Amino acid sequence: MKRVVPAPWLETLRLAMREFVPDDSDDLYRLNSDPRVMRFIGDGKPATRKRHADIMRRVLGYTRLYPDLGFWYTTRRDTGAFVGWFTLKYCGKSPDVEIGYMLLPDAWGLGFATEGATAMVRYGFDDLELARIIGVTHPKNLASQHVLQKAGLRDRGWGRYYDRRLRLFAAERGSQSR
Amino acid sequence: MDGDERVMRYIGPGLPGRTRAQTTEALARMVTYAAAHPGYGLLHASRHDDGSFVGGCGLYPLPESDTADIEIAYRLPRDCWGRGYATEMARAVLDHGFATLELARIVGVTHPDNLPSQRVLRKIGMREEASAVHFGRRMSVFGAVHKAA
Repeated sequence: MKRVVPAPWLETLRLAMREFVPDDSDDLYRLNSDPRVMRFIGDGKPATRKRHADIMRRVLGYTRLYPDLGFWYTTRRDTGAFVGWFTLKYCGKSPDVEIGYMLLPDAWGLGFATEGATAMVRYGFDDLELARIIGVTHPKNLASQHVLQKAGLRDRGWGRYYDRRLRLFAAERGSQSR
Repeated sequence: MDGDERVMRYIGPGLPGRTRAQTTEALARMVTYAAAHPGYGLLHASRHDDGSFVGGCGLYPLPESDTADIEIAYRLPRDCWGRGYATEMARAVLDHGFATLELARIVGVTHPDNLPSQRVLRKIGMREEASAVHFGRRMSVFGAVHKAA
């Protein structure tokens, strides 16, 4: 049976983003259970089924909790293949809005993260009129730090989020060079 | 240009000449596409001296590519072939892709029989890399990488 899914609300050159639906659980689990994907997330361990179910619930309910923010199920526009998700959401318990993303390893190295992150930054500033958008990464996640910089965020050293010391990147509205 | 099957047979899956209505529709898609994706889409090309239309050239994501590549595309009216226009516009678009869009790699996909187009790709610095199925037929794939990257 064909899955009924919401239409994409945001399209970039190669990617389409839409809201998550309960049927997306298996796709999300492919990310949450992959050690390569989870290496620099939280405690660095792949999610158990139980933890995955908690994450799925949070992902599905986030936009109802915080309108306009959320997690966006992302596919390639040409093949329709699931590649991962992008988010604009509060960073842990802080009042800062962060940009985030998680991509399947076979979608790495193709510029998708930069493309989606750039669209999230634009959405955050142009549509939501946020004053500031941040991005935090594990200190060793150089690939992601590179992506955040390409999306227009500047290196702001270190910050404490999610009870961890993380590398901090940020952009302010109006300071975007492009 | 799009009504001429000599121009269109090598484009994408191989198209017959378009009718005026189909051309109008395709043009509307092109304009919408370029507006939605700054820096991409087909650009209108004309001669500096007399302003006459000589075709178009631009960048698009190559559909269903394993490496999600960006391809360079061009087509010119039949009476504009053989004058170096394609090379001139393709070279400018390639520079734009590397310098402005900061692409790491750009590919050119041509029908194996389309030797003039392959010469254009070679002249702008691309090398033949592979033969692969794109747009439903076997095509010759050329590529160039950003030198600074």
